[in-house]
Amino acid sequence: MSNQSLWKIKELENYERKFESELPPYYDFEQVSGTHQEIEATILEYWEYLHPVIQDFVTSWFHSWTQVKKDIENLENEKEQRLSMLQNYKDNSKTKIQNLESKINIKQSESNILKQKLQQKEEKIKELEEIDGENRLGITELRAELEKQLAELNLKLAEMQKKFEETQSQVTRAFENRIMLFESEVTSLKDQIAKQEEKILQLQTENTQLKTQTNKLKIFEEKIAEIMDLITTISFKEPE
Amino acid sequence: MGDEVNLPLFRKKKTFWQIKELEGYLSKLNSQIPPDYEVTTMSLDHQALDEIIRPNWEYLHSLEQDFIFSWFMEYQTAQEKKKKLQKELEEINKEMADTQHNSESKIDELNGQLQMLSSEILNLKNELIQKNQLVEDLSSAIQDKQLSRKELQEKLEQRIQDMKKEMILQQKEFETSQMEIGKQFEKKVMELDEEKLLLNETIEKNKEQISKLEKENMELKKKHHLLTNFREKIIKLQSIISEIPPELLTREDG
Repeated sequence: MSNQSLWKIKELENYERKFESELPPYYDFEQVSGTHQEIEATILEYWEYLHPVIQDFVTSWFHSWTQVKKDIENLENEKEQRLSMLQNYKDNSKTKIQNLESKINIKQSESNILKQKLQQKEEKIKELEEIDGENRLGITELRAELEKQLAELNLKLAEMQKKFEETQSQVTRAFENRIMLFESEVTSLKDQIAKQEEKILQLQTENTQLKTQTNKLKIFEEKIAEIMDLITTISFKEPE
Repeated sequence: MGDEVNLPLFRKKKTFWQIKELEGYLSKLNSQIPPDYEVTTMSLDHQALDEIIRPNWEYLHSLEQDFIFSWFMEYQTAQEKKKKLQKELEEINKEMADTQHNSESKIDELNGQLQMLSSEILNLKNELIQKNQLVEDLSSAIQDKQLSRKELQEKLEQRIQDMKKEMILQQKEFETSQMEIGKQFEKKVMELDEEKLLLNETIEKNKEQISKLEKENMELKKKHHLLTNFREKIIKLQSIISEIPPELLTREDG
């Protein structure tokens, strides 16, 4: 190990700082590893003895690290928001699917009831056919005619329905999907705001406490000045 | 104490090699070689500093080497975490897209079933109305012996014609309701869009407030930290002064 130092390098004699690195970076030490905390605790005491190039370099590492930390914070927020949106979307989709399934069940029952009623009418028509034994009214033909006409009508109705449903489903699908996405996003935004408001309250409380504590400690700032005055007025006697 | 370094007055300070407390310092990291990283990804100032320090690395004290190396490691750890988060975010976005696709397919399938059933019900209802009427007509024709087969036939045809008219009306109603549904959806989307905009504005305002409060918090902590140090130094100073025998001190008044 050499005991050469950057202070002895001629080219660095007139080094001009790139950063305001006279004071060490101040940050929450809990954010770094235990080893870093130990090294920092040792070096902070001797910060003023570090060459400005090193002070600058450390400060530059600190700035780069802070930037990545900010990116992490933003990504974490985004992740949280996307996760909340995903969960909201899943919940909305589940509810939507359950609603549709329930509607289908109701429609299915309605269709079954109608089929039963039609069956009953069919039986009634047969009864009437038997009553009109001589076929004076031509019930069999009338029924066949009705069936034929109804089949035609149903076909037309089905075509009309199909056309209507195609347009309807296109409109509904596009809007429903957008609404579901928007609703999920709105819910996650509301969650985000609730968390932000919680953080604002926590910071406001912490800052008020810090202000009170700092005001109490200000007395030591004055004390230092008093002691400095005292020191300048005293001198030592040579011991006899 | 080591050699006295010949430095300009403002730099007349000890080097790390001359600090007695650091003499036995043992490196905590493998920092004998400068950190290996892609320098070009860093800021220009950082690159310039790296260029100065790298060739002079061996002249740094082990503690200085450790400190810089440790910052590099912290940066690396943070970068890894950032990459991990970016990957997680990509996965979440993929899951969102898959969930959306699956949900849309399922909803489309169910909507299809629902529409088929609605159409079936409409047909069944029409058929039931017609058969009800037929039953009524037949019942009254059987009772009324005068009603001829031809009249009954005409009645049936009239009913079918009525039904066709009814269908045209139904179609118009469909179209109106379709437009209404479209308008309702549009309104809902606009409302949600507006709400989203307002919420995003609130989020931005809150972010600004949080950033301001965090800055204030950091400054207050810094100040608090400095004042706490003052307090400790005063206590130390007071104890040093109190230990000096009074007979060794003279006071120059005024």
